[in-house]
Amino acid sequence: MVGSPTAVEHVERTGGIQIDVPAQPGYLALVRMLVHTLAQRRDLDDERIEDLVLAVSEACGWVVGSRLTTDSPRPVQVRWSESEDGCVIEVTDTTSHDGDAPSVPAPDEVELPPDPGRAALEGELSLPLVLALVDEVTSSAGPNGSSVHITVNCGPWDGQPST
Amino acid sequence: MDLGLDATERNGFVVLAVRGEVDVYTAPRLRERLVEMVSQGHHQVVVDLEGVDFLDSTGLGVLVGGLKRLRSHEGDLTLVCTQRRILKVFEITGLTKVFQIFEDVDAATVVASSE
Repeated sequence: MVGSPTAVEHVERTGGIQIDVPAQPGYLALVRMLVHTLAQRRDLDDERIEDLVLAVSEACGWVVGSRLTTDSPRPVQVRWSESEDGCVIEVTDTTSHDGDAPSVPAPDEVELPPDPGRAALEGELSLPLVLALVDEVTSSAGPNGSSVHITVNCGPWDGQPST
Repeated sequence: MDLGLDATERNGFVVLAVRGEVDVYTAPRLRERLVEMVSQGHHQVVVDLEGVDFLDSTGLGVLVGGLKRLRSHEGDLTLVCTQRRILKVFEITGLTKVFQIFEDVDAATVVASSE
């Protein structure tokens, strides 16, 4: 993919990790396993880890869901980056283009649907769920595709995996 | 990733024990099983989520769809769940107001049979 950073470049630049997975539902479990493993390196309790895993899986599901009707072979990119006080997970739809950033409203703009049963049937619970589970959700668009950025705040990182 | 679906009968109710991860990949199998139960005339269903490791919004949609389908046949779908991580998903989404959620299968079937 022209212009797309490789996994090695990403790790060298940010200390993070990037994987490309086929945009197929069967690969979401692999993403969850990776996120769970990486989250355990930080000082996140089990509940926060489970919340993050669910949020990332839902975000990947948005991309996968949009692909089910297009049959696109291009992958979903998942990047994990670390900072001193948090982790950022970026889920990128590599088929979209500049200006196609997914619309992610601010958490205070999202209300729980008045009829959650109907919302569940119509697939409208995913966004409120993600916004409730993590500290920040934003979106962006760039030459590599449109992305959702999920941030969880956590304690200082010394650069070494916790044991 | 495997999804376990084991159905047993108790007090005239079908208890569907779900094991594994319920997501956009596996949820269709759960949906098919619930539809199959309804078509076989089982209209009182208890879905036991104690063996579920992961449940996403797709799984929630399947459970609500099953509830709706059963109620259209004058039946019901109740849940068994004590896992904090799974209950939290129902709480965040407001679905605790939609489903009856019990601590164990005994409670679910006793209450269900008394209604």
